[in-house]
Amino acid sequence: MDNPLRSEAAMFRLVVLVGLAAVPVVALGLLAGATWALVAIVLELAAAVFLVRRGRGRAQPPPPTCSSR
Amino acid sequence: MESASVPVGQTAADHHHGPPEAHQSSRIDRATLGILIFIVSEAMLFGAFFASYFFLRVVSNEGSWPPEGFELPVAIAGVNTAILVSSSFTIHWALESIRKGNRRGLQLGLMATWLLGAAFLFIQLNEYIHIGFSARDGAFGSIFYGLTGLHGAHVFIGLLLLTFANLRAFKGHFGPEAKSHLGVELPGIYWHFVDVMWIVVFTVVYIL
Repeated sequence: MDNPLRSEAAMFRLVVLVGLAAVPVVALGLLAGATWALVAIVLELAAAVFLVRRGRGRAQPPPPTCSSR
Repeated sequence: MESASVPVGQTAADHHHGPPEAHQSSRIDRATLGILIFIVSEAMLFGAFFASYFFLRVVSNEGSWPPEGFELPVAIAGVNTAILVSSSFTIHWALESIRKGNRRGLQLGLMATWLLGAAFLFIQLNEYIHIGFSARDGAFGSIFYGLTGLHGAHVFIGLLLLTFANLRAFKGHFGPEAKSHLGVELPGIYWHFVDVMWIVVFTVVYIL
């Protein structure tokens, strides 16, 4: 994952991501109460951790291969 | 001999080999590294305030949070959130414009960002005047003004940075090359950080 602080464009993507993540939390908080908003935050954090871990797994360099030479 | 190894169309400076210059990383320039370290320290400062907020909330003996008698203007703060999030789009547009060489777009984007930031600050100050409690009114009053005031101070600093960026943009200082619009890029990173922090402050203080 890119360091979002390294460029404005990456930081802007973070703003959009955090903003989109906040929409269901705010909606649930206003409509159903703070407890449901908290549940939404926990679910979103769990999804974020899962996606980051899966992304890291894919970004692993291929294992070194033995060359005949 | 060295000039013979430089490919056609590149200068010797473009084709630099070996370690970077002294005090200069090859991966990140000094100005960007400076704003990175500054923002990390700012995030820690906000973290301390959030820790205080949650500590007070947990140890509070009041039945509800905010305690009885404290009414937060969620709708006004929501509109203010939309204003600040919009300002992130305008500063991004300003930077995209200058990357394409569009100085008019840069000027309009920076001006719009400044106006949206000023509107946010004005509405927040207006909220303070009409909210009906002060920082002296118990732990909730203190932490409410502490957190929102800390963020407001960051918006004010961001507005100062944007003022300089605006003045320079109208003097024609910035260009499409990455190095020539660093004076907009770095305030832009800071402004987005302030925006992210407000989304968190709004969600925690006004919604949860």
